[in-house]
Amino acid sequence: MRPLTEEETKMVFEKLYKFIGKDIKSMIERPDGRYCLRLHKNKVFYVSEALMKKATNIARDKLVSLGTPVGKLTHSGKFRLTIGALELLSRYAKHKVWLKPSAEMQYLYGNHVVKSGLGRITENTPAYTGVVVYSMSDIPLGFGLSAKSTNECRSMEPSGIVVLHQADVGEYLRNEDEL
Amino acid sequence: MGNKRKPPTAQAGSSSGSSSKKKKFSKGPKGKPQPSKQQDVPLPGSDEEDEQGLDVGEEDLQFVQQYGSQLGFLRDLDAQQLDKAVKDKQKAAAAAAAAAAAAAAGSDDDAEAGGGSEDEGAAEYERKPRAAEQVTKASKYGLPVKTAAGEVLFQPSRKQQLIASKVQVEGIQVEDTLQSEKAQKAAEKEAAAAEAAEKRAAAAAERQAAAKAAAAAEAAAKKGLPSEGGLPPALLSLMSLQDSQQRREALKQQMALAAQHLLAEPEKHVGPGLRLLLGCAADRDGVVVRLALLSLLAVFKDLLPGYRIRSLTEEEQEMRVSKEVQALRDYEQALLKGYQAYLKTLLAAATAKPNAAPAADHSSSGSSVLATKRVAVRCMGQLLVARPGFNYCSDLLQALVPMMLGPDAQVQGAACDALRQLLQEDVQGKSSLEAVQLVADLVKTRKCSVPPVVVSCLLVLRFEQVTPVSAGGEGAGGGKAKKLGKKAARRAKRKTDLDKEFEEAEAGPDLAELALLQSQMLEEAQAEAGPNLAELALLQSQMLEALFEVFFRVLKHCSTATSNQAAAAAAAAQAAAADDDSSSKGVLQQPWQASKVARKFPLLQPALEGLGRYSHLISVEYFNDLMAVLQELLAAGALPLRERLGVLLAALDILKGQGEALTIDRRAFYNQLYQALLLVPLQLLHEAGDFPARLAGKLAGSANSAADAAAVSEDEQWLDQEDLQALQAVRASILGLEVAAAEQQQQQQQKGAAAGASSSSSSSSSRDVAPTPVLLLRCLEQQLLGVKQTDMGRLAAYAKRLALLMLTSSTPEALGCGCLLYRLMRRYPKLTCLFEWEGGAPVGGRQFDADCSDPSEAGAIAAALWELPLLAQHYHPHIAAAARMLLTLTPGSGSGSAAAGSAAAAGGSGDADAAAGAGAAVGAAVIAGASGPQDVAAVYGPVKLGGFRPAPPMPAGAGGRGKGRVNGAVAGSSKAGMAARQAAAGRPWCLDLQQAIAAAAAPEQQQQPQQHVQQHGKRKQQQPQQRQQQQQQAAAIAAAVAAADAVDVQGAEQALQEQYRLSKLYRRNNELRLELAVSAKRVELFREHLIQKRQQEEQQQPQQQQQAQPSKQEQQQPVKKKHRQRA
Repeated sequence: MRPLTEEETKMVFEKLYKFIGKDIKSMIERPDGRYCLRLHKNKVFYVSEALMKKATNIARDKLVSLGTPVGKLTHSGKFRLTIGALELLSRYAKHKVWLKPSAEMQYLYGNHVVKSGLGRITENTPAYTGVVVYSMSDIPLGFGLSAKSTNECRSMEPSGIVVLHQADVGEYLRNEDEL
Repeated sequence: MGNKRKPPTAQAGSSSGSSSKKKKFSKGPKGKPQPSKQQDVPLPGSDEEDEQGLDVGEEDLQFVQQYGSQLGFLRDLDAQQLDKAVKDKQKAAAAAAAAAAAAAAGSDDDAEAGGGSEDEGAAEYERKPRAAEQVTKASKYGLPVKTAAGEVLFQPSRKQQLIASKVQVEGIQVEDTLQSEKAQKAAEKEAAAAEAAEKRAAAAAERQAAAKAAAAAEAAAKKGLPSEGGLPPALLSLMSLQDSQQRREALKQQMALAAQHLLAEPEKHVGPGLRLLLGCAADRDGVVVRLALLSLLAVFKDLLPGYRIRSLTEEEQEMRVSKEVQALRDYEQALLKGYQAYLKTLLAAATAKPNAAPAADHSSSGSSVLATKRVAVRCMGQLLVARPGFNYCSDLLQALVPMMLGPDAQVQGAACDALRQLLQEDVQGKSSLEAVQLVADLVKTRKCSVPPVVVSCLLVLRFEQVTPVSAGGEGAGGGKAKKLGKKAARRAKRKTDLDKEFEEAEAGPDLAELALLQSQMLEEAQAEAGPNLAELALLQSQMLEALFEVFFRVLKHCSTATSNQAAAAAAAAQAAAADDDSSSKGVLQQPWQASKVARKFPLLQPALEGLGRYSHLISVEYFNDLMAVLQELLAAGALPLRERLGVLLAALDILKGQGEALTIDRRAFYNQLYQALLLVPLQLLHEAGDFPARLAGKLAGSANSAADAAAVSEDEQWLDQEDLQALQAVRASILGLEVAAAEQQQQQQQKGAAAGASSSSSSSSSRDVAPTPVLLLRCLEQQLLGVKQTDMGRLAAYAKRLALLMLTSSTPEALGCGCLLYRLMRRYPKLTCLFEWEGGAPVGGRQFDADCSDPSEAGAIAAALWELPLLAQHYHPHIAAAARMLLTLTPGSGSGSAAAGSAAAAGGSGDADAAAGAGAAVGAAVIAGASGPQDVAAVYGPVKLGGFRPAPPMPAGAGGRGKGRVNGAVAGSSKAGMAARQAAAGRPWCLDLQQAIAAAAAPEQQQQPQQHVQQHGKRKQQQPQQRQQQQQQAAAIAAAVAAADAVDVQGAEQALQEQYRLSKLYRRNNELRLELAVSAKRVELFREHLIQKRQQEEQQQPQQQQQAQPSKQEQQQPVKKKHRQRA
């Protein structure tokens, strides 16, 4: 377990910035104590400092996980957000997409969101920015990238892709062993 | 010379010539020191040249120079009289003419020779009646006398003449003297009468100018006659002395005559008639010009055809045509020519500057120019409205549209009315399109600094004219052709083609003749309607484009101006606001004063209104830019609350129409509204420009003790209504009569009710203006209740802020917010977590941040509504009750209706805390009633600063709870009676309730034995009767309980407070009035005493000391009486 290097931090924050904007600061300095990002076995964890200090007592090879896993570094050194980051993202999300109930299952099987399944979208969402996907009852389902801006959405045909899938809560079942 | 007056009747062109000739005669007596009373006509200095211009010989000149001072008698020679009575003149004036100076006669002959040829046009009857007066007039100053020495003597002045007439040889002069004396007296009398008549006639003329032009020609004819006919014939002659007045009358008649001829046979008279009227319109007399303009308007309104007259091509001109066609063509061309000339005159009159007259003392001429201008503008407007498609319509519009800016309110109003009417009534649409485009250009060139009425009169435009046509053509979807752009027009065209084909296809297979006929007819109709429809759609789309150009320009202008301002004020803050990611604390920028906004952006309000009205017509392509501009406008922070709400509402309206296809979470607007809520408590300060003064007044008020201040303010509020009754009360108290407190209280209550009713009616009448609280709540309702909310954090933040608003704002906003809060809580039960306090632990990683500008990031879920317990202690009982009602919505209480029911039950059960229960019932009724937050706000507002509106009437739908209880009472009638009694026990002050119970108790007691009888006797015949009776009694009890409820609902608590306050007020008022009356009485007595004293002094001056003592006693006595009365 180690803190992120400068470069890694930049990569992680750039990704997070797409979703939560300037709230990164409040993500780190939470009212219930400071939180930090730690790298362990190529996975990035979001963990409170108190917990992190306690975890230092555990040997590195014995430590499986701590805090919230928010992403992992790929072999090529890039950072990817995993479904574990959903809670974090949904808390501070800037741009949101709500799915119609009929489109929820499709999305939870790893498909993109098409316009016909779009129940609601935050105004002024630009294209290619991070969006958090909710069900109509405001339960976070996953996150992805917006393929179209809100205004483009208006004039799209129903089968066009609105949100590119990145992660969804279905992965807890589908990719259980990878997490 | 009198014949010179005739030409204007025959030919308008020669009127100026006649007037110049006339001048010469009025100039004659210039140098003469006459005590003349008719010297009004100004004498220009250049008479010599004028006279040279006429054919006046050398001898004549010499004569005039020599005897210039003696030519006074010519002054009174009336041109018209002379000319109208040629025959009589020849007979009766022969002696006078012979004796008069030969040279003068010579010049007269000249004029006669010139005018003789033009004389034919005069009517015979006009010549006759004035012959007699002419004689008296001519002899007024007597004739020149030849002395024995052979010298000719003239009578220079009246005095001299009098002397002379006495001195002269009697045999010759007697007649003349008598006549001259008579004439003098008559002149003296009637000069005054003539002046009065002139004034009257001028007033009549003015009135006439102001009258509607439709009747102008006829009215001119009618009015011209009675104003003359109203005077005795003797006066008529003297009236003719008044030069301009007489001219006016004559011209009036001529105009009326010409107009009548024109209307009777337009083909015949179009040339000369129009020429005459136009000549009058070019007159130098303002009244005549105005009359001419109005008569021309009436004529043209009747004569102008509904089609456009086009000029003939060369081929057509060369072609030989039949006589009728040629006649028609000639007529049309003449008409067009006249119309053009008329329009030119109108334009000249309308653009004339009132201050063109250089001399400052010519204010009358300036005002006359202004009056003419107003008339001209009105004429132009009416022409435009009457014949929108006629030639030169665009010229008219171009002249009229800039008039809408005019500094003169009447001109502006006339222009705006014309435009509004045009836009409303113009069916063809071409001229209204032009009008809209012209307005758009005007707004552009004036850079949006245009009076708001200019834009608001565009809002009468309707864009659904397309729909009925297409609906007739079976194309139900044709109504959509009103979308923007040429694309839409093309689509509309295609649609009609489709419709046609569809018709044919439908009719085709059916070979029945009838169907064939029908289809043919339909096709014909289509052929007519088709191009018309497409054309109309095109026109309308262009019109819409111009209209939206105006709106967008205004918005853009406002947003750039405000954002510049904001940038100058706080660049950093603005940058943060523009960048949406900022979680910057909601720092409130100081908005501008409302007056400043109104001055800077006069068009903002109408433009927003227009956007809201035509939102369904805005193309989707414009949405992005439009929303961006609106956002910018809101973000700049310069707008005060009301304008801010206007912008928000316009945005909501726009999005409501077309955003439906895709549900969009309008985060930015939620943020803006959330921040705008903070402005609400400060709104009064921002709207009133002079808030320091108000504040000072408030402080002064609060310097008194609180209760006194309340009483005083109440007193002030009611002072106006009470004035009359107060007087009576004073008298009563003077007499020492103790008015019963209850009586007075009843009066007061009635007055209070009246006040409530009047204010509620006033609020309902001003509903269309929508006071700010109503706007606010409309906005809130649309945003929070209109769409389904998913973000509980945002809702919680809103709930928190609404509660805050209830604490700080005035009554209407507070109660509206309470109502809204209640509805939110009921719709989203998750929000009831705001009633639980979990130690401030952050929920979802957020702690509540009250200053956050974004409601969804404020973390309000972690907060609790601490405001509500505080509000339960609010000074306004209804707000307090509403807060208590809200507090019953705890998470465990299930649905809100159940909570309302339980609250109602608590209120009705009459437990120890009866007052609180009753209050809760009121609150429940107010905020849980059928009427929405807006209605509540409207009912409770508007309140003046520092005012406290007493016991407003219940909103109409708020009686639901009472009905429920009544039903319950019907079900168990005896129980209901008990409950009512219990309720009454808790509220001893409620007399009405007790009365109701007493009334209800009697039948109830009767009922019980009957029931026993029924049970024991088992008489089945009586059962229907019994049931009927039961029902009646139940109804009676229900009514009683309802009455009790009504009392209850109107606020038992309120009643108590009211009673207390009223009694206090009454006492105070009584004291004040007593003091006032006593002092008044004292003053009165003292005055009487003084008068008496003075009389006594006058009567018996020596016995003054003896009288002094009794008077003192008298003085003391009433005062003693006073004291006795007071005690």
